[in-house]
Amino acid sequence: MIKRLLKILPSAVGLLAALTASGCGSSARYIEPGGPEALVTVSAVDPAEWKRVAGEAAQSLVSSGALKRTDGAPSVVMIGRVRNYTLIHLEMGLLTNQLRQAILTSGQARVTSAVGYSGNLDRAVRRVRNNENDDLFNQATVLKRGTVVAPNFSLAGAVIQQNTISGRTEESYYMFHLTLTDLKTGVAVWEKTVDFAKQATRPLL
Amino acid sequence: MKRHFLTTAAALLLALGAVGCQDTVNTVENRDPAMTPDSVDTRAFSTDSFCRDRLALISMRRSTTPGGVMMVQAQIRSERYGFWSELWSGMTGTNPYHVLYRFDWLDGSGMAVSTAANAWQPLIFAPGEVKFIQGVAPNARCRDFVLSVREDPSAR
Repeated sequence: MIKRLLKILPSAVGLLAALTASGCGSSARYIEPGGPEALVTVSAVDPAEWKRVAGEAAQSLVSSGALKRTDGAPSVVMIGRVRNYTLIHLEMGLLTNQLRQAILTSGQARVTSAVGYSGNLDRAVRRVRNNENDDLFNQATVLKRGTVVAPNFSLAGAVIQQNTISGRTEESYYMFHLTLTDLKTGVAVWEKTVDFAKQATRPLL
Repeated sequence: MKRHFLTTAAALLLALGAVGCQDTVNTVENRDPAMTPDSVDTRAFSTDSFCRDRLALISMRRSTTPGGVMMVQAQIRSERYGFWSELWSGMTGTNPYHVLYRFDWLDGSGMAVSTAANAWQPLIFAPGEVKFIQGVAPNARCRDFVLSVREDPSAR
């Protein structure tokens, strides 16, 4: 009897462990993006950090007055390239989309989709004008060339990362640098650096 | 008796050691400030007595930026210094003190204005440290604000 019990004991323990482990999971639920419950990792830029960078940059840009023109007309900003000098893939739309929205909300400038980098360029602006000789379209409704507003400013930047490891502790330092350039003069009229560092220590075992 | 004394002495030594390991911040400023700040008369609604006792709002000021939008600044000091505070924060691993803050902006009609900046932002306080947190209104139509502060649960 005892021998039989000893035989099934490992299987029973294994089954119990599997049941316990499966019970430790949780069902999917909504969390606030970048909120206190969001995951914080060392090896990536997390949603909270994208929000922080976008928020600090937007606040600095709006408060600087760099977007205001002396003639009172709203400026037009093109969103250029934010270069990724890190070792990881970064989806820059997570930053530039929030900046576009902040610039529009400020009322100090508008953002162009006619020119720009990657997802900030809407090719439809050019494509609809390519229909000017297409007999499929009523030519009176085809948008004419020479109506698109050119940008006054370009917003571009870079992300730099530095990793440091000391023993079991790993640290990542990220630096976002954004520049607003006056396209008429080529002079940078606003710059902002947002940086943060994250640290984690691996368990001994 | 001797054993009891030794235990007490060891515990006291440990507590003193824990407190001795704290790095508090000491500040000095000019006695007669030349600034003429526009102070904001604040009204607080606190639901977390721990957070309320650990942070002190020293001043809340407002100004207008060159961009024509309202900027507010809160001067906050960590009150987690002194023997018991430092002992407790040392034992619970909450030194430095991690909090999150967020500014919400309201227009002239009292409607909240959505902005990229109204996300929770982290802030780390060493014991006794004074920090200035600034919020900039997303546009010139914003008239009022709400500053929310909470402890960061992920840092515990």
